[in-house]
Amino acid sequence: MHETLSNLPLLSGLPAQVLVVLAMVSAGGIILGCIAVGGMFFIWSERKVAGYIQSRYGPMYVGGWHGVLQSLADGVKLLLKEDIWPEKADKPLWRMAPLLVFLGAFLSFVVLPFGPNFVGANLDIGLFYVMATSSLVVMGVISAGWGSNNKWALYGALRGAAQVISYEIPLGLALLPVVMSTGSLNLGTIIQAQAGWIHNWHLLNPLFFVSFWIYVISSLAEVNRVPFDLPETESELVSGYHTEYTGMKFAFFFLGEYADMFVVSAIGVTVFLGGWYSGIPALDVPALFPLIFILKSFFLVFVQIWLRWTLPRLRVDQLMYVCWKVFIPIALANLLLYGVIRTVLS
Amino acid sequence: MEAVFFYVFGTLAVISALLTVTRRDAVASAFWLIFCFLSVAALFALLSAHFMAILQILLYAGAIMVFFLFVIMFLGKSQDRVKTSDWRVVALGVLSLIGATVVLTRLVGSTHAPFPAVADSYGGIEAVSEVLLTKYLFAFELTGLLLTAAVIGAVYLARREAPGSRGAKAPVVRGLTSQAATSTASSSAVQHEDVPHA
Repeated sequence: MHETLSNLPLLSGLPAQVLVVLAMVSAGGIILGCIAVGGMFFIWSERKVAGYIQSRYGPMYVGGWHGVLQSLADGVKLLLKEDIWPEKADKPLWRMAPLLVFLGAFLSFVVLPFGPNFVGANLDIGLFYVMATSSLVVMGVISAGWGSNNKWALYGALRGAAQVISYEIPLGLALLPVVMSTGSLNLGTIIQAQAGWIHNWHLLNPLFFVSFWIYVISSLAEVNRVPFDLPETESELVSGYHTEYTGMKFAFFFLGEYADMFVVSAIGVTVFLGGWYSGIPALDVPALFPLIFILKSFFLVFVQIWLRWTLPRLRVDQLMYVCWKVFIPIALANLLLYGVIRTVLS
Repeated sequence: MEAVFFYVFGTLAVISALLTVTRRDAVASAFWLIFCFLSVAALFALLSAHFMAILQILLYAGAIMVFFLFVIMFLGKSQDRVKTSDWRVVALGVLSLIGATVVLTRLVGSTHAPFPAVADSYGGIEAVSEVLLTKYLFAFELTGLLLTAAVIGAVYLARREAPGSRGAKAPVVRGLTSQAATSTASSSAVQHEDVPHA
């Protein structure tokens, strides 16, 4: 990216080091802006979908058409709110938590491939990187729970950590057969293996089809969404690990959650749903790639919202049962079967 | 440019390591240790060993430290301070410091020639996995066996027998990684903790 910057007339005289730092800062700024705007859009659409599912309107007034600016108004409200903190909170941990949660989601955006040349960092191990950054979110959740000095927050944090760490395993195992088939962890290479007509999408391979559903359900648990929202169960834990947060700190948790939803959806699209390809070769022009990728990701985000307002939540023991005794055996068997078939066929 | 980043992250790693051992609060120590791991991961990334960097974050900063924190949080905040004026502790510290200094000076002195340059992909996933699955295959598989044995042992120790079912069918956990045992144990611990409030 700094090469592009050095071609701009205003910046051509600057030394390379300055340009690298400038490129980093501006890339970070662009990603931050996209997350903020995207997050506001997701929150608005969540409320509209919730309204539709529950036979009501949802936000209608702010911003004219169907309350489109409701999230912006809420953002301003959160900015202006008084910042309250618990008297006996562990201040450094408590302050750091929302930033860690947000950072985990933010760092994942660096490798998301919106197009063949439209990616922050084209890492060899993009898929692995995303899994590593999402484990930073766990740290944020734990430090929020511990730092709040509140038993509900602590229970929420412990549940959240146990859940995310457990579901990381079926998540990874579900992605492995696809990695075996493409022979690469680079997100762009995985997408390029699905070029052409729609039947090339990994979703339509029977074994990968199983992987896809394991991935989608586990990713719901990764981002603490219903039916796996045990870390925040409002009926028993008030609001879980972010009970004690107000104002912008709360907003960061909220934004981090929606950014995470987009990240897991985008990875699902990349690995199983053909990434930036539309499934019809005639429509695959480079200009449309980012649009196709984003639309597909939005669809998966919509599915997450849809499930949230449709399903009840599981109990803690059911959550662990589903992970350890259902998903992991199925994912392992699937992986083994794919390996055997691949070895026999080759 | 690389040198600048090296010194920044190297300093951060050393400072956070020092803070890890000097904090009184165990949770603060654990978080400084995470910070230290992240700085070391950045150093790996600077060596273009991206795979090692990600492993460092995923396994050490992510998985292992979460279990450290779980244990610390279940034990609760300890009020009594660790006694550091014990002369045996001080002596042990001085001895190990001298030992480490001797080893390090010998090591640094023994490398007259610069290390041979390695390929750019040296710490990449392909290079690591190729060595792991050819040259060190036996050791690799043996490690897997060791971890499986550890999992079985942990599950055996952590299981709670239902009242009146001594010798009855124990809960069997199959095909899990080393995270399994700890996670099953901690989840049952969460349930156990929940009982008084239920």
